[in-house]
Amino acid sequence: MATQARASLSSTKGVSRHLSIDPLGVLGVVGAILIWWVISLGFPPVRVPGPVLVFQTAIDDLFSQPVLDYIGLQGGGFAPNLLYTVTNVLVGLGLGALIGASAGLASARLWVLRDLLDPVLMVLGTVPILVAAPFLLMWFGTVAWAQVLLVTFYTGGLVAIAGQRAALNLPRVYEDYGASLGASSSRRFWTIVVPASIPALLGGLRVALAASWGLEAIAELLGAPLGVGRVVVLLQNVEDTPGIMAIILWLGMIAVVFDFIVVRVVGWVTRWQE
Amino acid sequence: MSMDASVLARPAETKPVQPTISVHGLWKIFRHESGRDVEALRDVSFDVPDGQLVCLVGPSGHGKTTLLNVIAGLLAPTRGEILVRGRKVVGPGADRGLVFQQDTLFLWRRVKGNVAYGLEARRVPKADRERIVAEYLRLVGLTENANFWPKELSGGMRKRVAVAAVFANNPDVLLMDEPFGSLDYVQRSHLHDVLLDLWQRTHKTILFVTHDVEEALVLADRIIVIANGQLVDDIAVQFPRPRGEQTLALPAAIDIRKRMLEHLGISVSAHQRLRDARPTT
Repeated sequence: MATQARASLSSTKGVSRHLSIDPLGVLGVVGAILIWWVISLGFPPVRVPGPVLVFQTAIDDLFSQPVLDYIGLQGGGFAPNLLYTVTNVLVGLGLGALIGASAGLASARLWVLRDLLDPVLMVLGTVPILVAAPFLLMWFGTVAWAQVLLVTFYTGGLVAIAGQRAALNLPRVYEDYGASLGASSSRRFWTIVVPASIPALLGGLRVALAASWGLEAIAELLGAPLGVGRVVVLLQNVEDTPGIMAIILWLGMIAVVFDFIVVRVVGWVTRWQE
Repeated sequence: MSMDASVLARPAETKPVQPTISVHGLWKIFRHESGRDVEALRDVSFDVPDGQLVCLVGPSGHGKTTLLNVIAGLLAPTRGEILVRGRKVVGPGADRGLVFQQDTLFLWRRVKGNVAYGLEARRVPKADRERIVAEYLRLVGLTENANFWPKELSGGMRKRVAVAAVFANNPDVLLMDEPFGSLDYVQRSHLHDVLLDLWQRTHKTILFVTHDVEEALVLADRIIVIANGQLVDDIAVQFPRPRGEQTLALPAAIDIRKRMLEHLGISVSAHQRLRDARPTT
């Protein structure tokens, strides 16, 4: 019996280690849910719904939500809206990463481009990214591109700065060594500067991903055909607080899953790091 | 150890008519931020014949590394010129392999990828590349570590990879800037053996910068002493190899040591105390 218990405990520890589950983190989440539950006892569900009601709504409304169907938003509950938000974030992130990495690394290599780009990045860096949202709405309307571009701008700026700094901080001796082995300038760029900058680029990308969920949702709040933000606005109009909290819960869980995946991918890609 | 002739052989029939390295009237002047000119190298001239292992010895900050960097093409001379196999040096190139004092292995490449880097850059066919990499990894004793990342290696192993990478690229000249300076005595002695083994197999011309008098005596065919940016002594070292404690205790070796120490501004008795403090193998 004791042996079985030990084996079971060891197996649980193994799974926990494999999935990098932090027991204290789990305890924190359980504690937060308990506090939420206690607070909800003092308010009507339409103001502060309890965790059970929100979890139930999250499951019930995932593929069918009567209010959304009634308003005429695309049928199918939360799912198509979550899919819209996730797609926009991933497309925006991908475009931003591509543009940002190219601009950052190229500007580290070409001083003319660096002199042109640095003041622009510095000025844009001081302006809150959400200020761009109304402009994008005016220029593109409520189509998906307006929200995608907001994520693209944010990600591009962040990744460009990370890439440029990483490439500029690479000790000169690496390129000298490559040159002494016969590598041309372009080969040194692709085989030394780019791989050496990857950890910083991926670090910037991870930070951008974490912020992109919120940016996308806020852009959708301002105006979008679908998406989590759009659902929040519609449910707010009918005072469906459990529904709002349920879709935000879904978005939070999706963000956590994507961050988990990104951490694993980044860890594998940069497994050579000391 | 047997050797693949096609990998390491130097054409025996080529009898160079000119030295492998010719340094003529070399000056290197740096402009200090105060506006003052600093003469790092002053009218340095010497020739190095094919296959010679030359140690450049001198105090720190007296121009040894500057001289090596100018020969490597990483710095342009202020005056004078350098010829390698008769070709004027105008920039870095694969004909002059460099081993730096600091760690320059590409962390994102495995050991075999690091050794193959120069061969890839020179577009050596894959089959030849793999054969050459395997051969040099065997010679430096790292066959079992071919798929390791650099982070998984000790300091001494990393240096062996760096040495293998440069030899594998088959340069005319090897330029080594205090490559083993960061290693402990035991690892450095082992690296000396590895280097001498590879040198005796390939007969490459080597310029080896060191401030360690004993290291120069163990390795060199010839010692060039640089002080205050000038070539102040040029000493032939003709002891048989391997050079153990007995060889280094010969009167001729003691004389050479004394000459070098005088240039370095260190008394012989002080140096003897330093030597006595070292472990012996």
